[in-house]
Formats: sequence, C-alpha cells, structure tokens
Amino acid sequence: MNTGFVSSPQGARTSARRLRADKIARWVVVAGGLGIIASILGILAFLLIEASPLLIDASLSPWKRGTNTSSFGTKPVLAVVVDETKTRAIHLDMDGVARVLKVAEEEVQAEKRIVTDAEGAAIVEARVIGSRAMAIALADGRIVVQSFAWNEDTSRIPTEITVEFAEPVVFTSTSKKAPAAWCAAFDPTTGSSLVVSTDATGAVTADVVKINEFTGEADEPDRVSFDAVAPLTDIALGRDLDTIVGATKDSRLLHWSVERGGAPDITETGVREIAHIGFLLGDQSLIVGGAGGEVVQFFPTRASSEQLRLTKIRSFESMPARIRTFGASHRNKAFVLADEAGNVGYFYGTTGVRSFVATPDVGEIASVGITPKGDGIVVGGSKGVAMAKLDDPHPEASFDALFSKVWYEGYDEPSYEWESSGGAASGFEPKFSLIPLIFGTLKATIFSMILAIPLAVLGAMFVSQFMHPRLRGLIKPAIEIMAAMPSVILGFVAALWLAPLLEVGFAAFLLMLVVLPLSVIAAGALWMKVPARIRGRYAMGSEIFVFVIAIAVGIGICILLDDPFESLLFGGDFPTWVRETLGIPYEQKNSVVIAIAMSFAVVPIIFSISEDAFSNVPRNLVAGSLALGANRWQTVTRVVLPTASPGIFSATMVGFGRAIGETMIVLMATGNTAIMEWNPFNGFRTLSANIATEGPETPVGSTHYRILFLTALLLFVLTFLINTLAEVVRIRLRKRYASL
Amino acid sequence: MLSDNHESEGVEAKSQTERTEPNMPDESLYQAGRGDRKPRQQPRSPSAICVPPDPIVSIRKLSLFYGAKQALFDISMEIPKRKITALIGPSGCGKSTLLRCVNRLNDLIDGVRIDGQIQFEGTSINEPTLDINMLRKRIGMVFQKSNPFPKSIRENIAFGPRIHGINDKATLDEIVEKSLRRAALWDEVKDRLGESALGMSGGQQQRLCIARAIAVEPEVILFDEPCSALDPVATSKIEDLMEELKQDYTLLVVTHNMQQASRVSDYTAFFYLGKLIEYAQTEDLFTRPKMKQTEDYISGRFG
Repeated sequence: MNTGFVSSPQGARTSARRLRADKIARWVVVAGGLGIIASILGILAFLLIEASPLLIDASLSPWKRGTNTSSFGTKPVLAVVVDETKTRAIHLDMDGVARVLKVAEEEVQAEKRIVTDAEGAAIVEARVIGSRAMAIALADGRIVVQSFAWNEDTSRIPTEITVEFAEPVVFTSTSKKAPAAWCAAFDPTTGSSLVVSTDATGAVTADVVKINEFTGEADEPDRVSFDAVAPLTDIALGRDLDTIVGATKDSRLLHWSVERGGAPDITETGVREIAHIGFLLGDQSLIVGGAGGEVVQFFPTRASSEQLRLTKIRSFESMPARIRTFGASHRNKAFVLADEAGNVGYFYGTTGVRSFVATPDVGEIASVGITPKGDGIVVGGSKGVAMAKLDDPHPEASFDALFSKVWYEGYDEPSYEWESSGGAASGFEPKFSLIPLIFGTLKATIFSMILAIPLAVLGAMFVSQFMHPRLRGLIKPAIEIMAAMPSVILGFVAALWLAPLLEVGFAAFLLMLVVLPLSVIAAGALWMKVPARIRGRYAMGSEIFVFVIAIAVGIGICILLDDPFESLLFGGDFPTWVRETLGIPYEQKNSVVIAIAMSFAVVPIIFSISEDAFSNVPRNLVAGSLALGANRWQTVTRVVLPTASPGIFSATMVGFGRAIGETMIVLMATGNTAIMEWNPFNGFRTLSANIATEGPETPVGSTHYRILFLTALLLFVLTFLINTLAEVVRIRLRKRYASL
Repeated sequence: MLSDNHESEGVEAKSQTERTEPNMPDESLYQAGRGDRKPRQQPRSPSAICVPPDPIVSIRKLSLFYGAKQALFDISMEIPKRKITALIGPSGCGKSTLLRCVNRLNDLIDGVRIDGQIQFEGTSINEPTLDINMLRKRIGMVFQKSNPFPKSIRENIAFGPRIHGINDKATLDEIVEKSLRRAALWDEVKDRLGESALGMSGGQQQRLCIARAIAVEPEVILFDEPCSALDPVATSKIEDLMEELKQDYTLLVVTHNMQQASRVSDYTAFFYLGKLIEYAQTEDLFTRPKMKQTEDYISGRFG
C-alpha cells in the first residue's frame, strides 16, 4: 500500500503514525476474530476429546501364562480366582488343594487342602462363587463350600495380601452319588450359603446353611425339596440365596423360589440344547449358553403375562463351540463365556454386544472369570492358568444404547430410558439413552415456542407497524431489558410462585387464552364504532390504551370466573379432572409453567429481532402499498410481513437456540424426570438441566462423565446448527432484498 | 425523508427570503388568473397564477405544518384534467409535500397539520370521514425511487386489484397484461412474469411501478420525481409514456429537471420556499416568466 507512494513528495505521503495505527488496528481486529474462532473450535475440540473414548471398543492384552511349573503351573486347574489388585490368585487343583499364588513372582504364598478325606471321593467339578468362595462337588455326593477372605496388611510396603480360609461347609447328599447338576451360592456379608443339586430324575434339593451369629459356626442345613419336572443339565442361583433356575434337557428354564417352594415357573428358551446357565451381576439377567454356542439373555418381565416370568430378551453373537463355563463381572453387566474348543468370549449384557473372542491356550477350560475390578480375565484349564488385561472403560455406551430402544432389566419392553445412577444398589444397570433428554429438550422448546413465537412476532408487528412512535420508543427498550433478566430468577418465580398459582387457577389461565384475544377484538370493534370525528382527535397508534384497558378487564373477568368455570367444566378442581377424566398425570411443575416462564426469556429476543426486521422494511414499500389504496392491515400482511419474513425467521431461530440451551428455568420449574410424554401437565428432563444436575456428581473419566460431555457436544452442535441456519437464511434473503 | 427536506428548508428559509424579497419585480406584466388580485409585492400574488380550464383537483389556501414549522404557505391552484402539470422548484420548496397532500400520504408522518382544503372532483379530501383507501385508489402515485414489492412481476401488478377485491385469475391476468402494455413494458417482460421484480433494471422497475399504479384504474397519477434516479434513455421512455398516459389520466409531476418539465408538461407551477410563485402554461412560464424568482430559477441563477 505504501510502496506506490514511495516516490511521492514528502507532504503527499500518509504519515507513519497513521500507517502504524492502521496496522495495529488491523492486527487487533484480526487477532480478536481469530481468537473467537479458535476458542469456539477449542470448546468443540475439548468436548470431542472428552466424549470420544466412548467409541473405544473393549480390548484384551496378550495372555500371560505361568512359566514356573510349581506356581501358575501346567497342571490342570479346576477353578481360579484373583483378588482386586490382581496380585494374588487362588487356584484349585484336581487333588482338592487350593494354592494362593503371588502372580508377579509366580510363588506359592500359601496352600490349603480343602477336601481332607479324598478316598473314593474324586472331585467332579469345582465352581468359583463370586470372588470370595469356591464350591467343589465330589463323586460321593458331597458339596463343599470353601469361603475365604482377602486380608490386606497395610502396615507393610508394598501392602501384603494374605488369604484367610474359613472353615469349609460340607453338604452331604442322601444318594451318595455325584449330582447330575448342581450349584452353590455364598453370601459374603452373612456367611450363609445355599447349595442346590439334582439327581438324574430331576428332583431338586436345596440346602441353606446359615452361620450362627453367636457361635460363628454353621447351623444344620435347612433342606427344601422340589419335585422333579424334567432332568436338569445345569443350575444357577441368585445371590439372595432364594432364586433357583434350572435348565432342563428339553431346553426349558425352571424357576423356583426357596421361600415360596412349590412348582416352578417354566419358560421355553428356544435354544436347541442348553449347556450352561448363569446369572449376571444383580441376579436379574440369566445368560443361557447353548450346546451350539448360542448365547441368550433372559430376565423376568411381565411382557407376556401378569406374573413376572423369565423372558427372552436378546441373543448375542454365538460362540464357536458348545458353552462350557461362565463368569460374570462383579461391577457391571459384562460376562465371559468359555466354550469347549478353548475360546473365551467377552460380552456385555445391556448393549447385547460380543466384543471379542480370544483363545488363552490353557487346554480344556474349567473356569473363567472377570477380575473384581473388571480389568482382566482369568482362565483356568487343563494346561494351567492364564490371565489377560481387559480394557473396556465404557461398556454401557454404544450407538444403539445411546439412541435406540434398549430392553433394560425390570422393564416389560424395550424403551428409551435415562437413569444414570441407582444409588448403592448392587447390580444396578445404568440407562444411558439420550432420546428422553433430547425429547425433553424439544418438548421444552416446542411448548415455549408455541407461546413465545405468536406473542413476540405479533407484538413486534404491532409495536413496529401500528403503535404510536413515541410509545414504541418506550416499549421496545423495556422489552429488551427483559432479556437481561437472570434466568435463575425466572426459574425461581416459576417454580415457587407460578406453578402453585397455576395449579389453583388453571381454569382462569385457559379462560384467558380465549377471553383476552376476544376482549382485544371487542375493544377494537368498539373503538371503530366511536365516531370518526372523536377518533380523529387521537393520534394513530394511541388506541393502544383502549386495548390495555380491555386486557385488564379481560384478566379481571377471567379471575372472577375462575371458580364457576372450574366447577362447571372441570368438576371443581382442574388437576383432579386431568387425572381422573383425561387419565393422565398432573404435576405442579409442568410444561405449561415452563412454557410461560421460558417465554419471558425467549420473547424479548424474538421480539427485538423481529421488530428490527419489521422496522427495516423500507418505508417506500409501505408508501407504495398505501398509495395503491391498501389499508394498513393489507399493507402489513401483504407487503411488510413477507418482506420482513427472513428477519422473523432468523429471530425465531435465535429464540429457538436460546430455548434449547436454557437451563435454569427448566431445571427449577420441572420435576426433571426423564419421561417421554407429550402430556402438557407433566415435566421432562432437558439435556442442559441434566448436565447441570449430574455434572457435579459424576466421577471424572467415568462412562457417565463422558456421556454428559457427549450431551454437551450434542447441545453445542444443535445450537450451532440452528444459529448457523438462521444466519445463512438471513444473509441469503438479505442479498435477495438488497436492491430494496 | 420528508422531514429531512423540511429541516433544510427551515435553515434556508430566512436568509433566502431576506435576500430575494427586495429584488421582486415591480410590475405585474401578465395576468392569467381570475382569482382575487392582491398587490404583487406579496409573494403569493395571484397575478402570476393561472386558472386552467376543467380542473379535477382544486387546492384552496393550503398551508401545511410539520409540528411548529410551516412547510406550505397558502397554496391555491387548480389541476387540469387529462393534462400534465409539472411542479418545479429548488429542493425543499414543498413541491413533494404538496404532491403527498393530494393522496394524503402525509398522514403517515407524525405531527403534520393541514389548513385549507383540497377538493377532488368537488369533494374535500380532508374530511375525517373520507374513505382514504378509495381516495388513494383513485389518485395513484409513482415514487422518486422505484419501489416494486419483493414479489414477482405479475404479483406486483396484481397487488392493487387484489386488495380491491379482484381475485379471479383470468381477470387479474387481463389486468396485468393491459397495465404492462399501457406502461410499454409488456414486450420486455411477458416471458418472465413469474420472476422477481427486483431483478429488473431501474427504468423497467419504474415503469413497473407506473403499470402497478395504472392497474387499479386511477383518475389522477402523482409522479414524485420519477426519473431522478434514471439514465437519459430510461428517462425518455418514461417521458414518452407520460405523454401517452395523458390521454386517459391526469398527471401531476414533481420534477427537478426543468427540461423535463418543459418537454412533457402542459402546465407548470414554480414553488419557492413553500410558496407557489408562478403557475402558468408551460410554454409561457419558460419563455415569459412573470416573476423575477421564476426567471432566476429557470435561467439557472439558483436552485
């Protein structure tokens, strides 16, 4: 720019100071603009980075196997269990000896012979029960439950972990024969255990052994017997020591309760031949493994009958061979299955996903389990023990789980649910469907827009086109100041004052919707009846005072008529009428309250931008229309409104964006229940309110935390898209009308 | 827009009056009017104001105030039927304001007060009981800046008939074609009636506005400097058009362009500082002006 003037005389050159100021100004403006773009992109990138781990699939490290014959060994292992830190493992060998191993050092720390008199009593099968017990079935019909405790000695560094074996509880059978199928359960808090076994006919005996609180010794077993229905192939027990599920040879599931006794509930599985069954954490979901490698989930629902009945929920991808054994996670709905070909599959119940199938190469697998913290898989087989590190930080999140219907435990059908935490209840299944939150956001937005758009746009039309200019100069800034009102105040007023008021006076509110427009129209008609000579004395636009009086009178009439109207149409009490006659719930903090409160936040924005749009319609278009003999109404509706429509559209979109992101009002003035109903008399939970309530509570890095970031991203994208759409439309139409 | 003119006029008014009044001609040489004669020293001396035959609009002692400021002073003139009457004068002299009084477009401006009367075919148009929409239907207007609606060409023309209750498509099509032909625009746009009027050239837009005004079949058409934003070719087309429209309509044209006034108009009124200085047949006014101010203005000494 200054090169062209190099040769010009001294006086003709732009002074260096002006050039410098120009340059500095340019840099400041550019830096400011780039800074804004960068910070927006930064927020977007941050949200993406925080939410992206949700997409990571489960992965498994290579298997680690013992090298030393004396420790991890190559000898056959019947059961294996590890502690929380994965530094100790207990495995049980064919001789009934349990060994505590230091995993890293591959040393035996301690060992205990569980089966003391082994003569003629070879071990048939062993099972791991939770992380604190094992059970062994012997050929002579005895079943031994061996519990143990992991003791941490924190006085030593590194913390020394030792295993304390409790006195084994022995159940004897009358038949003195190895059970055809059996299972054991152990309650670590009381020390009680339940052992269920069946003979070849299918008759079931259940023994409950309670630990005497005073002596600390095992009481005599309480025995309950169930009549045979069909020969059983496998049994699964709930941790409540009450639920018994047996799988029959003809592929049915029999569901008994120890307490209730009697005949079982019977469910057809549809699986050709059941090989193995087991409960997931929470003892609701039963995983059925078929002889052909089929994997199917069942849990009790009322889907098909009045009573709770085991119902087929979902099928997983099959395993390559017949299912042999099963291990459930101790913290979520994950489980592992081992088949007879030596493969281990990792599944997740809620999402119905089989993440991977791995082959640990331990020969015939006898025991498989997920480590207590869910960070590893441990396998015991004919060739010893193998462990692998499992990395599955966000198993509950999948695209389907977030956006599709999921059949959750305890529900009668697949549904969209948001329930991120269930308190301390063990076995809680988190429900992360974003659909109810998106629905809530849309419901809040739509309900408030239904009220706000007509009010704001028609108000802007009136103020800009019909109102006396002097009044307009007062009203416009006043409404714009409303936008500055902190939404927490609106939410507070809506929740504590408006919601109870509306509950009492809903009939008056309904009346107002009809009476107020009518009274304005009536006032207008009356005003037109006033002789033109008198009317002419008042400046055009000052008839607003007639309308203000009409509205005040209308409100007064509605309040007076509230009681008679309510008793006439709604039997005296509107909320009761809604509940009983319409059969839908009425909540005090409902969508109508939100619509009214949110209007206070949204109307000023839409009003202000629409008013500008109306006022920016060139006066010569108005004059052109009037000069053709059009009256004011025709001019406004046929010329001004179409010309201002792009501005009004963009005003509406900006209002929409505001309503979507609005947090405090919806947080305070609804019940925040994530329900999906269009019923205007109940609440909803919006994306923004959800972030506000749950954000401070969620553990950093958890699935819930990342899903909250995902919802934030969703909100960001939604508002960004809407505002962009508004801007694009505005710019395009401005270009179109540029020649006006 | 109008109030701006008025502002500048107010500033100008004093100095101009002081400067020009001593130079007023002593003798009134021509007398074409039949109204009361007053001493010609009076600025609104009727001596220079003719009374054309067969008037359709009569302006009687019209004064107009923007709030406290007076913009028009005691104007009296007759607008002849089916003739072109031009209003000339320097900026801010009130000629556009007078034009807008005729179809009461000044009503839009807050604080405008009018004294005196305008009669249109014998009835006063300033009665509060008057149907102003019908008045404006009968007195159409074409503005300084072309103002087609942001609609299609067809819809622009059909707008007027529609608001007056014609909804039949065939009738509307007929009106559209007739009006466009009358405005000499038909051949240029007949193939793109559905396109936006905003895509037309400035001259075409202005002729569209004329066609739009014709579509409601007015009796008088007011032109407010219709060619001020147009190039000479477009201007001459509009002038030809006015010449033709004269056969059916009464035209009242405000113009800055004295050549235009002399080319197209039958009568010309010269305004200065809100006062009607001289009103005569165009040829007379331009060749034999009676007033010194008129002479100064048409000879380019000021304005």
